[in-house]
Parts: sequence; C-alpha cells; structure tokens
Amino acid sequence: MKAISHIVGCDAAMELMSPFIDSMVTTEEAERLRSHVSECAPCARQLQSFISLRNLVAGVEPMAVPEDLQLDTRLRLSRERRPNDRNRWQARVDNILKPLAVPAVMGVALSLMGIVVLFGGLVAPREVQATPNLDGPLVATYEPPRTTTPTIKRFGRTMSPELDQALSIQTEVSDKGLIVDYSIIGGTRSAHVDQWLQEVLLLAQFRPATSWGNPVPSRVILSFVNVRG
Amino acid sequence: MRREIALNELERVGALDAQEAEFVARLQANEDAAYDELVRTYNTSVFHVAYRMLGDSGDAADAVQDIFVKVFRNIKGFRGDSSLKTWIFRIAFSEILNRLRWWKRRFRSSTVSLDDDRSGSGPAIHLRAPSPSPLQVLESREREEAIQQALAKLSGEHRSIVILRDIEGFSYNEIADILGVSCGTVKSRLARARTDMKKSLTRFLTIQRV
Repeated sequence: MKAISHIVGCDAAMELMSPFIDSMVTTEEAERLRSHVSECAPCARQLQSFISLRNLVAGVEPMAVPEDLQLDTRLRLSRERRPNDRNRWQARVDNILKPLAVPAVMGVALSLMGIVVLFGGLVAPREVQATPNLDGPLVATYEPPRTTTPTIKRFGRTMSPELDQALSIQTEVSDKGLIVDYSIIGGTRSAHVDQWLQEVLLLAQFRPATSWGNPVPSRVILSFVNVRG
Repeated sequence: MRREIALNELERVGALDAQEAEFVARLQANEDAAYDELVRTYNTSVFHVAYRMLGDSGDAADAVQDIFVKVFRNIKGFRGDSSLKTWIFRIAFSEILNRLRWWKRRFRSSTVSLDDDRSGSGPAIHLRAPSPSPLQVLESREREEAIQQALAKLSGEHRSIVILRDIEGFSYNEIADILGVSCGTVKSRLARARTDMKKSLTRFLTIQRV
C-alpha cells in the first residue's frame, strides 16, 4: 500500500480530486488518491474542500419561479403552434380576450337577466289587473335571480365543448333557485353540447327571484363563449 | 486509453422508454395537452438553470420562453438518441450560451445582476426550514449571493458544467451530450471550475484540520 501511495504526487492527486468526489475515477485511481491523502495533510484538506464545495453548491436554494412564467410560456407556445398567420393572429386576439372572457360572459349574462326581468316586470301589471293569481311580479317588489359564487365558478371552470360561436340559452329557474328546463336560443346545438349543458346546469344554483319577499320562478338567459389558450 | 467507470451511478444516455417515446409522439403530433404537460414538467428546471447562468430572473424568463419555442420547432427532428430531458437541456444551453455570447459581444458585463434580492423585486429564496430565524435567513442569503457571484466569475462553459453537475445532478455523459463536448473535457473543465470556485468561497467551506 505504501508503494502505491508514492506513485501519486500532490499534483496528480489534485487532478484526481474533482472526478473522485463524483465517483468518476477508476478503482486503482481511487485507491492511489486515498493512500496519498492519508499521508499528505495539505492534500487531505484540499479533498475536504472539494467535498465541502460540492455540498455547498448542491445545497443552493432554488429560486422562486415567476408566477406568470408558466402561463406566459404556454401562451407563447400556443401562438407559435398555430399553423398559419391567420390562426396566429386569432390566437393573439384570443389570448388578449382570455382574461376578459369569463367576466364578460357573466356580465352579459347578468345584463340579459336584468332585461328579461325588466321585460317581465313591465308586462306583468296587466296580468295582475286581469287576475288575482299573480303569475308575474310587480317591478317595485321584484328582486331578480342572481347567480351564486359557486355557480359562477362552475360556469367559468367547467371544460366546455369547442364552440364555433357564442351559445345562448334560456333557462327556467325554479323558486328553489334550480334550473328546471332550458332551451337553446342561439348557437349550434349538438348532443355533446346538450350533455355538457346538462352537466353544467345540473348543479347550478341561483338565488331565486323574489316577489314581495317570496321566491318565485323566473327565466335567465345565459351566454357562453369558448375561451382558447 | 484510460478506462473511465462510474462507481456508484448508472448513466443512461440514449435510451427512450416507452412512456417517454409516447409523450414525444404526442408532442410531434402537436397535441395541446402534451405541450401543457411539457411546460409543467420542465418549466421550473429550465428556469433554474437559466437563472443560474444569466443571473437575472427577467432574462431567465425570456430565455425559458424562447427555449420552449425552440423545443417545439425542433421536436419533429428529435429521434430519441438521448432522453427528452437531455435534449431539452441541450437546446436550453445552446440558447443560454448564445445569449451570453451576444451580451459579451456588445460589451455588456458578463457578471450577473445581484440586485434582485436586495431590491425585493427579484426571486425570493425559498428556505426549507419551516420557521427560519432572521439570522438563518441572513446567512442563507449571504451564502446564496456568494455562490451566485462565484458562478458569475466563471466562464460560460465552466459555469454550465458546474450548474449541470452540482446543482442539477446530471452525469458526466449527459453533460457531455448536452454541451456537445467529450466526457474528458467535462471532467477537466469541472475540475478547473471547482478549483476557481473554491477560491471564491473559501470562507463558506468546512475544512477540518488534519
């Protein structure tokens, strides 16, 4: 063993240290280095410093990734992956509209809801005069139905089918706030769309319209647009 | 020729398993979900090496986006000669080293910006301890900056090797594949880079008197 240790000088030992700590030396080289450092204190300290350095660098804390990086990268990729200029342009527009789409859809839906309620309220008084059994509410005492937060989230997050154009539906909301029926009044109808609508609307929960403080049935018009990205 | 062996690691360069091959096929078919998965899987690690190489989180984020675009543009030419990760890092380092050369040509300092942490606008250091004391935070930050400064003093080639080996844990063969150099070059450059880094980080190294 002594004979082996003399084969390796300090310079040669230094050359072996870096690959040695990565286990990238031969068995013979490893044995020579071990023998040398067992007899050479400066080289032993050098070897320790290599090991300490590797541990120090390996233990470096990972940097926090910018929050939007993943989304930005996906958007950049989605633009790049569009096959032609027209589609790339469309993707850019989609990406700009994307953050606005869900709030816009809900805003339009609520506006339409208001119009429906207002329209219903305006025509209702004649019915009130015609019969004591009120089918429609008085405007002054009427509170329109409202979507609940979980419902808005469900509308916004549920995987939707590929829609070529905006899909508008008229829903019948019961006095319990549940959708009991719907009809498509705009957009393309298909079995897939119907199935998706049923899934989405099944759990939709509205705060029901009220007349004189009592829940009453109402109608709500909802519009959906496809958000690409 | 000396025989080089890895004593305690199995190095896998070149083999694509069935699952990865299927994933590559989905990427080559331009499948949306595959690209989402690609970004989810590699976004963080690519950002980390880009940040370590470039020293600025904004530059690193730009580089990451360009790297993924290049992955998309070249994926049809990927033949599975290396693992997908190795191939992606090859593209990443090509892009990053090109950026470093571009900056160097324009007389921009090759040293990194360390203002991020001081200004508070840069990436924060994530500490593993659940409730680090202020002193621990300070020491960690000081150590972090010293390491980043030491890395910045190295040439781009040497810095790449230290990051790939000591931070990302790639094998010598994988590093050689990523950087397009021989395994012997990796070994000699790494030894040189570590020797240089030791000089910069002496006060952080634990060395017992023998």
